[in-house]
Amino acid sequence: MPDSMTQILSAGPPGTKINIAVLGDGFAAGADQTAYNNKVQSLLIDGLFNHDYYYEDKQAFNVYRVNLISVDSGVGTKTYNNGTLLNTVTKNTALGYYYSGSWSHCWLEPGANSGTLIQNALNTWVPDYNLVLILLNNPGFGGCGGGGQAVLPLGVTWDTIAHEFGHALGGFGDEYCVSGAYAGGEPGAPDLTIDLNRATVKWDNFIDPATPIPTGTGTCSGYTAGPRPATWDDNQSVGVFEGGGTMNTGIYRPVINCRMRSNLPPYCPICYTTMKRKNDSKMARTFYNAYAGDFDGDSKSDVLVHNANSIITYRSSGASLDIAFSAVERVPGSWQFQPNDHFYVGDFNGDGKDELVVFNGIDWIMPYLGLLADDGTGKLHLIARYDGSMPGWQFTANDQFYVGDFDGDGRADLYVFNGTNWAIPYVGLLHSTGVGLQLVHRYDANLPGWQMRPSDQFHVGDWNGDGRVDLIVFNGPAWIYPYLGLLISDGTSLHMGHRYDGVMPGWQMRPTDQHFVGDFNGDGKNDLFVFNGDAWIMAYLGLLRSTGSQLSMVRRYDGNAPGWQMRRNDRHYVGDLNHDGKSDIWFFNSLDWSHVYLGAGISNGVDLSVSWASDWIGEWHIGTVDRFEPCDYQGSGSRADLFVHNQNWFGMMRASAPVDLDRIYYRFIHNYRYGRNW
Amino acid sequence: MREDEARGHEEPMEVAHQRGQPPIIENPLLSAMAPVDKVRAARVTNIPGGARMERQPVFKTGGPGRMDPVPRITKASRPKPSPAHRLGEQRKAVVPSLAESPLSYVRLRLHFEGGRLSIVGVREVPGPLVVPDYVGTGLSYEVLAEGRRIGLGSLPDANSRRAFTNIDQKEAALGHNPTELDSYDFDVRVPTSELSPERLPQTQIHLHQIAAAPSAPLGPEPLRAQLPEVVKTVASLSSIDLGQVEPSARAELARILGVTSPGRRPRRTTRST
Repeated sequence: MPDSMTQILSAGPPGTKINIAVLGDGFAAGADQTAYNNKVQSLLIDGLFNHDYYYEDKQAFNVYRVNLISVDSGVGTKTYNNGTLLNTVTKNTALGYYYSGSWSHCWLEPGANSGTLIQNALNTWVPDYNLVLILLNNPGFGGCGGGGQAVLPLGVTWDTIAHEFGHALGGFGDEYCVSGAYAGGEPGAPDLTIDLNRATVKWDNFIDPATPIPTGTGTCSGYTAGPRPATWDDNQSVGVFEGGGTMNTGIYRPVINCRMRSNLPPYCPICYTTMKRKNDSKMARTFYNAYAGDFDGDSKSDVLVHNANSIITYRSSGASLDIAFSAVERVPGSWQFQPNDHFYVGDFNGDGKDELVVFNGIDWIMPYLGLLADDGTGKLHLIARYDGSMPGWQFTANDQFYVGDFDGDGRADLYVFNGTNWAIPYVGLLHSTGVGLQLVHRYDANLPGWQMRPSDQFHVGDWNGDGRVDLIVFNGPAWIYPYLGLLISDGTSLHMGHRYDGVMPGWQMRPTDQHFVGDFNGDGKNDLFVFNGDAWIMAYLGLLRSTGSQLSMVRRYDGNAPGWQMRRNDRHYVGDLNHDGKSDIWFFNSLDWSHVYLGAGISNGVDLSVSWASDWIGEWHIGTVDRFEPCDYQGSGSRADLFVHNQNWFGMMRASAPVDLDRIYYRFIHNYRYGRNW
Repeated sequence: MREDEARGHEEPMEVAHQRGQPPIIENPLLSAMAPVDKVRAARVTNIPGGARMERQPVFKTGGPGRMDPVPRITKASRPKPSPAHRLGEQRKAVVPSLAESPLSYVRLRLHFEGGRLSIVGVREVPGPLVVPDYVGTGLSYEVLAEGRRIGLGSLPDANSRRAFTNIDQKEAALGHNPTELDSYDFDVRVPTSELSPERLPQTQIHLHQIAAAPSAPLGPEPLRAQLPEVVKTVASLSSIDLGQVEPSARAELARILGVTSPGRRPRRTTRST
């Protein structure tokens, strides 16, 4: 069996990531290699990268597992007695290490050629490395670290590695105490200090003003400065506690019990934030691609953030978000994430939780469509995948998908349209079986009463309130005048409810008309908002009610809506902002005024009333770069909220005459008990 | 927070969106939409000429560039759910592998001993290099070319050795038994495009001790200029002299730079960043 290398975590090119190379010593061919593989898996993938910071920031790391075949099984040993070497057993292993079990000898030591053998192995098998983990085939429990390396036997556990990586990656000091009183100057480690001045202590921004300083005094103290607050968290509440850097007194740490004190707890806010800042350039994460959905079925909208070859989901607690799931490169099943993945959110199996359809028509040799669902433990896995085609539909790059339960069975289905990749346009109805998708009808070139064109635009909505999601199709530029068709689903096919040629009731259609679907009168049937900002002397907004098969103009605003002067670059988002069962509409304009405006247009069924805010929503400076996702992160039962996001910032906004900001996050989503990372 | 772009014209805040304000005329050259009760289908549909959509369009099947016909789906032929076992790899498009990337960077292995730095290893790595804009406390390296930073990295434990064990072992109470090393190796990384035979004499490598981490991302200036109070230089290589590079690494660096031997006319390799 020759030596080999397997990349077990693939986040990106080595020069853009932190590269961990794992080498094994004393593992012979055969069963030893299986044991080695299992140990690497349990230590790193199931251990380190399955917990808190490392789980969240998997996207910053590559892990290369190098399988070096040793002639002998097990590494050599050295036996010491009070510092005197009593016995040496040498084995013929790939790297020539010895395990001694002696703390004073760093538990283990290299052989004469170990350095060269390690360097040769690294140069041969891994493109680059920032940390080298050398796993010795010995059941011991002590290791030796430093210099970008950690050498450890089989008995060392993942949490110990997490602590060691705190030194090796974060430069953190130990926060536990062994003995003695510290008498030196200000330590360089970000998590240790001798400074008891609230204004200058290096983690001052994480200390609640109500927290006394010092917070704990005495040998390796806990909370001693008065009664410990009931909400105090030993791992996340920050103060200044005596004891740290292995000294009992004279030096202070930020929390009572960080990972740098006892391995298993997550990093404290100071260590966590240091890690995040140091590795931010390796994460290269933005908030551009964010999708709202209730992924855990608690009726609150969560969010999925996609970056390059990773996804991460955050669970809503009602007014904040917490990490729920993180995956890099693939999820089991398998789906391999790529930059051009597009996600579609819906409850495709009717279990009360949202699943994801993911489509990629660009990054692979053929288009792929996958269905990702909860595996029962809160993690996503692939339950169906279609490689290039499914019976009746050949996927191509420009396929466009629309989520809607067109057969009313309680499971979201998909409409798919392709107008550009074939000689004729196609529409397919893909029914969800709960475990996959199947085509139930395909329209080639024509829909009932409609000649399809590449520039057709589709929207989904239930026009007749029968529980089956229908379609509207609009085409502005392809014909002498625009057309709009209301297509009604009977569960397996569509029929034309009504087609509008050039005009709708009270509305002269133009190619640049924009349509927004919502039940603005609360009658259980979806209606239509239609807006045009550039085809006329002024901007127009129409509210057209659905009668079940036709539209009827309820209200048209010429230039002004009540409380909002409409402009050509107004953007709109539909929600139910006042929880009355009638769809309302957000107005946003960042281009036409010297200020940026966000308005909440409340529908009473026949009219709108708009209130607005300008420039700042709490601490959020609204601007052109902002993207909005109507959602219900509060779990109020209606889409009264907005996720707002751009490259660096993510916010949670709630409709409240007109809007309030619940949370704002910069670069990453994390809830500090006090303070923040900017 | 602020992530913004240029805006439109100035308007008094007390005027915009106030009730009673006249509509904004976006383009006076355009007409107004007809009043709601005057919008008539006939007026539009009577426009002469141009393509109109059929009421009951008919489509002839067959022809090139079309999807295959929809197969007849019977109960027996109905697609089965995907198997629970793992599906195969998705097939990659034909794109250059990392090894064929036009980008690369150079990993230089530095040896520190007696306050001096020397280059003891060189390796070219395919692909792009992200040079961080943040350093933590402890040791860091910085590579400067003509006063401009071209490489940066933290080396938190480069000069230390420490024992560790699981928290439940009695030795855990003894601490790490740390040793500060007098000599040690570390790696620095620089985009290949930043290295050339002409630039080597002006390329400096510094090993710094950082006393306090910066609170904001670093700018392009040298660390000592940006953080004069917290940066202490431990050792420097004031230029890279091929002749001083350890022989085993010299040949590789010469190859990367396109130099057949030190002192001869350089020949660039094709990779760059």
